[in-house]
Amino acid sequence: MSREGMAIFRTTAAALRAERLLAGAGIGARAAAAPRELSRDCSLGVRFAWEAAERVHALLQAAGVPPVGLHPLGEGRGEPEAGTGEPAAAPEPELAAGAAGAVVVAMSGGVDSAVAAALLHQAGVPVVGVTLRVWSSGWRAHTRRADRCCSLGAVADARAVAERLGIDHAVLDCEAEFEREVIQPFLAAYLGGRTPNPCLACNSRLKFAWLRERARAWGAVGLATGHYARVTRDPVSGRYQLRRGRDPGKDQSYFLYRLTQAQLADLRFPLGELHKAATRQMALRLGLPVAGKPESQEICFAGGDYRAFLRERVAPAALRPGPMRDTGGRVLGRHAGLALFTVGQRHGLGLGTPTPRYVVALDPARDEVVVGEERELWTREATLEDLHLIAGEPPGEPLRVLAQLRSAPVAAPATLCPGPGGTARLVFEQPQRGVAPGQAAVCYAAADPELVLGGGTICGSDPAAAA
Amino acid sequence: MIYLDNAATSWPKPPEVARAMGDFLERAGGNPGRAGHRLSIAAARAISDVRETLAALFHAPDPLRIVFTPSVTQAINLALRGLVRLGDRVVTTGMEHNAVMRPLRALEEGRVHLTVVPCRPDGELDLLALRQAVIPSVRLVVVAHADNVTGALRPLDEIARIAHDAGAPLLVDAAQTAGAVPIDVQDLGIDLLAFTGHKGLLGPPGTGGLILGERVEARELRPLVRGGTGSHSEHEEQPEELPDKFESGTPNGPGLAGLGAGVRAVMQRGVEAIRAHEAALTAGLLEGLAAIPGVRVYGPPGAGGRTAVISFTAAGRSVSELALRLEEEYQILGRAGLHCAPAAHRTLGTFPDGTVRLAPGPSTTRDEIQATLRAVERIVRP
Repeated sequence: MSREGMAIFRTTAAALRAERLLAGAGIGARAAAAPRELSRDCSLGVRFAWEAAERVHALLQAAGVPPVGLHPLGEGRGEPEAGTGEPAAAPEPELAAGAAGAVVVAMSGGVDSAVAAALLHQAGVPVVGVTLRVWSSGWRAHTRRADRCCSLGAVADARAVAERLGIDHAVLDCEAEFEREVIQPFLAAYLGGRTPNPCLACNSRLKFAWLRERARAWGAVGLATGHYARVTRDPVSGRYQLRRGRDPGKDQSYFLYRLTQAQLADLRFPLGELHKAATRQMALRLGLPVAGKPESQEICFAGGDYRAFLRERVAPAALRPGPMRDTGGRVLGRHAGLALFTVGQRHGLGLGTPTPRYVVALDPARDEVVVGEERELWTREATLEDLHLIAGEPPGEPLRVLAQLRSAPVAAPATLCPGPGGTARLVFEQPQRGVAPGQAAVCYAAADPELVLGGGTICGSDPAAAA
Repeated sequence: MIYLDNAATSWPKPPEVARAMGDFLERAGGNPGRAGHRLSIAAARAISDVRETLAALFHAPDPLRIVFTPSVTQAINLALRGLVRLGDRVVTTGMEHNAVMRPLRALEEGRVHLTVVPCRPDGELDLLALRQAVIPSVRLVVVAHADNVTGALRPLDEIARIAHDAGAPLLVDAAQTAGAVPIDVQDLGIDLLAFTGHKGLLGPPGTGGLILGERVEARELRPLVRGGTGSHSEHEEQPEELPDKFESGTPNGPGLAGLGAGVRAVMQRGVEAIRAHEAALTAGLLEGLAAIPGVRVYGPPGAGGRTAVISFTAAGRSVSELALRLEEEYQILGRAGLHCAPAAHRTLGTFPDGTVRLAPGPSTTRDEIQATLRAVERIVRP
């Protein structure tokens, strides 16, 4: 990927004028939020291929829209280029200095990560709070929340907590990364007839990859989050292990199954041993300004309505109407676009059949939504791809596991049979209902139900095996 | 119903206008320039599009020197109050709207010298008198491109020459002409062009703006309103950059999106084509009214020297009675009275009663003009 640059302007009107002028001159340009390090304003910048920098400069000067500055951006990233060889990739030099030897806590603005930071801080661990600004929390959230200029309520909340605790805090813009690693795969999955899990992508691609890399570059000794999960070590092999959080009602290990040995080595989950009630009590006792915040259940960027988000973000042509047929091949009606349906869905089919119908499959190749009766939702076997095992190498033989197919911590006895190329078959002892391609199947050890073995992405189920 | 009040506001608007406004609210709901998220960018882009479209329409050299205001009145106030200082001299004409006269009279109370160049009884500006009035100490010359009572057009290129010869910039009130008469700010030498969106540009009310020519130093122009702009947020002083300096507060996004759609509709049909259409209707009206005994039409003879605005009176009939009966008996909507322009009516000799004003628009048909003439004739000669 070729390097990008950004031109900064004093006004939004000038940035948009520049975007237009550059496009008119055949230079691909796109207005985007200017990184905070480049502009203290709420203003926009214009991104372009850095190799065109001289032309951009000359053209804009001549057109009377001189930029305040032209900056190369880091390779494939939204942040400005670092100095030569320095780990000063940190936008805030003070932060980089403060983070050396400290634990970086990812603070979302919610009560859990606030208490996680507080616990480490109280234990005498040097702590630096970091909030990722993904912007895309916008959409619904923006119309619902009283936001300050350039700051989501969440960012302000995290900052307030950090102030209350007396720890350093910084906000990192990662809109581009979030768009690339979370939003785009999310949209692509739905368009391909799958039901994605964006929280998993955000964890594995942003928090535990992108943020972790940066924290390491600053010299931080660890990364902590407010997840309810525990990290332990196998006394024999010395390998790191991921376990369910102590609170069975809050356990979030399902969202963490892609963690690697290297990541687990410097990860901390300070809430792993706590119950949610204790976390809340602790927040109240410390007078944290987020103690009363409600649980967040929705996808942070799509609010409660992912369909509206899809309509907003995908090209209208991508939502093609098509036939809705039953498992026998009979066409029952029409649908407005495959991406607007998920396996297991009952409402909004508009069929008006005497007995309820459910979406049992999505066929992107034929633009078909396949519906069936409740019993057709049950499957005995699922195929997985992208298998990841926390211990490292896959086992040579089938494993007795407890498989969890959705975020609710209910696991079913099954046998995991690893196949070639990261695939696997998951054979359930009892039929499972509504196994949706795109969702994660996370496996826990049958003999040690709290131990996460790993998991994969469901890519198919075997309807023929239905009871 | 026959709508002949397009000089007050154009109606009906092209259907794209309402659609663009709805689209803006549904799809571009962010606050332009206040954030970097996509809804904010979408909103800013919609507004930037309108700026570009208007720059093309008026041949403005720099879209960033188009400042949006809630009305042409605000634009005129911005230019007058922003540019004129204590002790300055301003020259205007005897055919101006109150949007010009009232702020000027207020400035006059604050020890600004005002020269009102008289016009002939048919509304034509006396260029010789203007040249005599525009002496080198004049700070600003203000004229309407066309007045709103007779529709008489002023020779802007000659007026600009007179102003520039004295070193004064020219402020043009284009309320009646933007979108209805071709305007090239560079060719005509207009330094400040104040326009409204809801008349000839076919946009919604609540839109307008001021175009700053290259001879006007933005530094010299003080903002009428100061506040948040989304830029220079760390400073408590108003930014100097255009257009932000004069666009504090969240702009009227839906209105501007509607304006953009209106302007595009105008450009699609062509200002020249609209002008020809309206001139033909105006010629028909003038001819028909002149043939009715007792009816007196004001303003220049013929349709060539005016916009589609006709003022008339009828001997023995009050203007309010005429307008009322046109509406009640024939569903013809015109407007009677002084049209917010007492100075113009003094010049025409129609003060304080005023006139009946008929103003066809781009959608008016020949049949509607004929029906209107029959109605006037029946009322005036029962």
